[in-house]
Amino acid sequence: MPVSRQDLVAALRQTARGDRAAFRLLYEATSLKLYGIVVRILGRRELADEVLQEVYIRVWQRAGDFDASSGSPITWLAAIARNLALDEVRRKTPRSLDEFPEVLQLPSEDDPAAAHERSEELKRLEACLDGLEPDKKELVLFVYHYGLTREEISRRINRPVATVKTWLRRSLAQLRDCLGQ
Amino acid sequence: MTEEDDIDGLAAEYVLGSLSPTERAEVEARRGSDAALATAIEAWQARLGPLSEQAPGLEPPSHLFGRILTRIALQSGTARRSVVPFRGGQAHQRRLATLVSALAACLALALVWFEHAQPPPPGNEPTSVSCGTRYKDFWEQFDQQKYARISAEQLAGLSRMALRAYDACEAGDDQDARSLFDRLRRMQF
Repeated sequence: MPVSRQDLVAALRQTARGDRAAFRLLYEATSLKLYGIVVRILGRRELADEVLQEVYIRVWQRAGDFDASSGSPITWLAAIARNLALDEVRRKTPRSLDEFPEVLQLPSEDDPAAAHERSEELKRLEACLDGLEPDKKELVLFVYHYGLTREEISRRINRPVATVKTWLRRSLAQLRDCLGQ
Repeated sequence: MTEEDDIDGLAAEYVLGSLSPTERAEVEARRGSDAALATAIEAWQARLGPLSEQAPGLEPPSHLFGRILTRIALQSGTARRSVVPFRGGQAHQRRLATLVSALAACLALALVWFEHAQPPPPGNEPTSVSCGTRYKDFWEQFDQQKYARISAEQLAGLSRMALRAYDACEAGDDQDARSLFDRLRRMQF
């Protein structure tokens, strides 16, 4: 359901006042995205179902903490979803690498629907990601979307953990300098 | 550069999600007392957060929202005072009106009791436990059966009515509360 950023901000404000109808609208507009995020990190649907419930209960409790001047509603919601999913996956036994796809599956930048949804912040970040070497860009995106630890990446690409750490930190520092924030 | 020195690198990897379970737990324990680390995490959240827009969505099971609402209703049943005062608009005015009339009724009754030195009738005792339970019961039953079928506007109306019923009950107006709860239960969608 296409809902503008402004609508989401309003829905969050009303949710903070205990408005269930606004909360339902918020869920309908964002659960597709947040479920995608938690399923990718957790790998298993039954775990993702539990975590998604936790995510929205936290949203209901903390909607008043959202500050529209410091970011978009979807980024704020996604951060809650990612944190809870990462906390959950780190409590479990190590995942099998077979659970992850060979290549990162993201919407193509040529996809008009995807282009429509991309914010200015994302476009800037993508331009900076394009400044990284292609394999480092892939690495950063893979870790972000699938929540892999350095150790998991190390086994996946058969390189020492220390090398993975160096690559990640250098790539992230390069992104920071490029973004200039 | 040691791990301790590279706070920015640690914050970056925390937000990216690449830290081991132990390191992640350490960062979470430390961020509350380490302002530099907390600031760095926020900055990285702002830098990398937009990547979440890229992620393709996935349809969650249809029953999940009902479960979420049920869990919230259970919580607000036990901590209703924290939710009720923040609801605005007409519902708030109606609640205020209910409260004012209840107070006026109490005052009138108190004068009568004083004059006649009689014990107060039992209906004017606060009945917070049963009011909360009735409110909670309504939402529990409602969420499971009807939630998926109604519109947001209908839900908002129901929510206001349930609060009115709860407030009437809390204010000691048992007749009004009972009639409202009965109407809520009988509603068809």
